[in-house]
Amino acid sequence: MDIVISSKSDKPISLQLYEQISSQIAVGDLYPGYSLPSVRSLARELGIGIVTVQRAYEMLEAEQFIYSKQGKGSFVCQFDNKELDETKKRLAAKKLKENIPYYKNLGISLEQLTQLLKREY
Amino acid sequence: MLKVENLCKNYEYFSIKNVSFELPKGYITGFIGANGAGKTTTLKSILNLVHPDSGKITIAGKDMGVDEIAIKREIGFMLGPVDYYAKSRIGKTVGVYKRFFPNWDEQAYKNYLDKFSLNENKKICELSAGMKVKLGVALALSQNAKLLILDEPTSGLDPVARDELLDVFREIVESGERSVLFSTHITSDLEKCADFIIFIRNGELILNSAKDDIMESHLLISGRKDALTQSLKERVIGFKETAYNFTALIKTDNIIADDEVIKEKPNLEDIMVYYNKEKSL
Repeated sequence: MDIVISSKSDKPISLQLYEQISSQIAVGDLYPGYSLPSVRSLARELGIGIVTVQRAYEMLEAEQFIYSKQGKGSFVCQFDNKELDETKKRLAAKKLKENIPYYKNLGISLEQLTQLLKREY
Repeated sequence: MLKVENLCKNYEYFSIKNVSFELPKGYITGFIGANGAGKTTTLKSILNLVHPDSGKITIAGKDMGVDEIAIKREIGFMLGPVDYYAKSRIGKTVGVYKRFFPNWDEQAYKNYLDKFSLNENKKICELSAGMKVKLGVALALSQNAKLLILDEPTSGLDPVARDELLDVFREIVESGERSVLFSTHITSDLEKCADFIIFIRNGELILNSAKDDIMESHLLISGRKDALTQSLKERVIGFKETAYNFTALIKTDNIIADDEVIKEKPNLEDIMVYYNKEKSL
């Protein structure tokens, strides 16, 4: 598992953690059954608050990326290919959505944006 | 772990007004407030070194008013740098000191001496201000206590030593069994390690929540002077106005689309500063 945290970013650290872990699960770097480090040891290692890691794990659990077993820890959920595909789309959509207000603000139409996306992709 | 209920203490020119908070077990809690806000008085009241006029302190379910000795064995505290018996060597002073603590952990003490580069053969008066703080912290940490209460443990330490100390705190709470409560002016230290923040001003509790919630529920906004409308003024917590612009702290929920402002994520220092600039309506 790779985690790179920026405390200077406007994005809350719990969200940074969530995004990095969820995308590593989506691309399969973290495979089903993978045992995640405990909340407290991850907080210690990363030098961030325990509550911050708890929040990230709660978000991952709510979106069914991981599940936790009492006393055993947290594990990556089982996915089939179709589910994995949906997950990737969901993550991509979330990211796109973040930037939409910016394009709208610039007065870029959906058509223009689609063209731009095709050119830049 | 620690429960403070309706703590009141009146002095001629200052009072602690009805302060209540709870410290969950296994976390680091930061205690902030300006000079004279009542941090030290509150910490001393918890330890019964200042006798509160009213209120109740419970630690691990035990009442401070009833089980004071038993409770104090569960608490390691440091209220200031070690500055007593200045002409004695550290080893000699600590040799006396540790006899008061039945749960003294000699191994931990030796490790902290090592970690903080403290030499037992040095006289206390030969230590720098920072070293005296480190010695105080080492003594508090070596009592095998479930709760650590530290008054400004990072003040006077250089950035490297502070970073080391914060790591010691993280290590202490990692098992989930021990808790740390520490006061500080250096809010960046709390951003790095605290789970919960307690903020007092003029003896009153202003904020008491998870650090993440506090950071995410506030925004620092700035803009042209004319953007600070009456409506916006009423919604902000505190603001600073100059001849050219303004900056203000606002609850994220209180911002509306019409506000022509630049939004930024505040740090704890901004939050502390602007709460102290609370406008008088």
